[in-house]
Amino acid sequence: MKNNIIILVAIFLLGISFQATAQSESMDAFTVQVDGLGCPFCAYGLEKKFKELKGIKQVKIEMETGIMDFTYPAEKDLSIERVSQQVEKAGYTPVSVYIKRGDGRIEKSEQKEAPVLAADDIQNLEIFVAGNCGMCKARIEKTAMKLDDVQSAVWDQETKQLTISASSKLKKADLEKAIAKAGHDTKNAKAKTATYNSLPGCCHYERVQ
Amino acid sequence: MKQSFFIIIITSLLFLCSCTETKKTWQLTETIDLGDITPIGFTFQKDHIWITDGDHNQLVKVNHKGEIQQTFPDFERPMHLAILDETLYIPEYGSDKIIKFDNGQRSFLEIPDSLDSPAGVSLLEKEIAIADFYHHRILFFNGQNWMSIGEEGKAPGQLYYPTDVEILTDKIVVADAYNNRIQVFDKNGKSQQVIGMAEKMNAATGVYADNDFLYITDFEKDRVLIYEHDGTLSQIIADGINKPTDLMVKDKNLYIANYKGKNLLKFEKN
Repeated sequence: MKNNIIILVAIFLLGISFQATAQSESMDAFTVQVDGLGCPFCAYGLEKKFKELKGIKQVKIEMETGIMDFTYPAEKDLSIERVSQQVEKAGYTPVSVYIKRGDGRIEKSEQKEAPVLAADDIQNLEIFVAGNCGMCKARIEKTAMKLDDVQSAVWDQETKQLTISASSKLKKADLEKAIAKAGHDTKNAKAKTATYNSLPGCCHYERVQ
Repeated sequence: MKQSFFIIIITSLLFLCSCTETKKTWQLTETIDLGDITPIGFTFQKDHIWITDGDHNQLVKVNHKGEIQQTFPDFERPMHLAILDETLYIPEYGSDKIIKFDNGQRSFLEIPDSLDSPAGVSLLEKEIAIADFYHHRILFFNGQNWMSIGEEGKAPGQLYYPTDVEILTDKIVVADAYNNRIQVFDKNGKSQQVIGMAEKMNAATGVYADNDFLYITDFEKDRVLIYEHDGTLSQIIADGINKPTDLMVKDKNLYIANYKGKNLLKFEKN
């Protein structure tokens, strides 16, 4: 009788362990470092909206570190690029993405290195960019840094000035167009209404006339 | 002629002095450090303070020195709470519920409509008002019926991501957060006043009102603005403020919660 109970318990525990393994193999684990989580009202809301994505599980965001963890079905083979896009669509600005696939493979996003420029090739540009908060700041600076010729980008929340250091090849108009495409008005380039509307509530700055 | 002139001057000086005397302002007197707590909302009960710690999904009971007395985990992004008859009412942004918390026991406030990220709640006798963030409205129970106040937009009568609310005897005061203003409604849901546009706030996130003044936190600009009920600006406080989320007057002291500063500030009038 005692033996039978032990065997039954062992089978039960093995079953649980097998189920857990099968569960973890069927899910990819994602760790995304996001920037600009200054305003809790928006950040909590975005976390909630992210949880509503089909198939996503165990969404957890640490506000202080900006680290977002979640799992997603491995069969969907969600790529780093798609994760970045999805995170951006939810209003966050991704800094890095780390994926542990269900089968154990590891994938990491590549960090863009700032270009090394000759001293006589460097120009400093300053443009007005409309925005409100820490989330705006992260988005504006990331957008500028994505441009090939940009070495550094800093947006001041008070003055609304974006200061960049870049190659002399970079045209101011191209910089303004890229920023507007991300949803932020500049003096000479306006964001599309749909893009502006898709920004989180706290980022809804006063439009430039 | 000379005598009349002196009388006018003395009268004027007396008048000016009396004005100066009545115009008392809030001054920072104490900073209550909260350790790792990131306060969103707070309220007082007897000799302690209840604080919702949004980042850590917990409700925390502290004494007036900020020392933790008890911690209650497993809330889903708890927000601006309120208290009535010893029961705490805690809006959960993550679960779309209002939790009734009484001596450690949790139950839900029954609401005949769905919420999408409730951010603030206020109670006055039988009345209840809830700031329904993603629905851009206030859900108001007048003691008999529930009604929806406001809709998404920027015009008077419309709301844009309300984060807090306060019921007074004759009005409902709303932190109309991303419209960057206070909006006052009557209890039939009609907009009466829009306050604070001239000060160009950036995220008006927490509101408190008493019979004398309306108080609002200007989250991104690290300040608190205080208005008379007619909308006249009375005082701007910036001393010690670091991403404020909530505020209230208790025993003639003004308390302000700093989300990023992780503290409560105490101000006295002098």
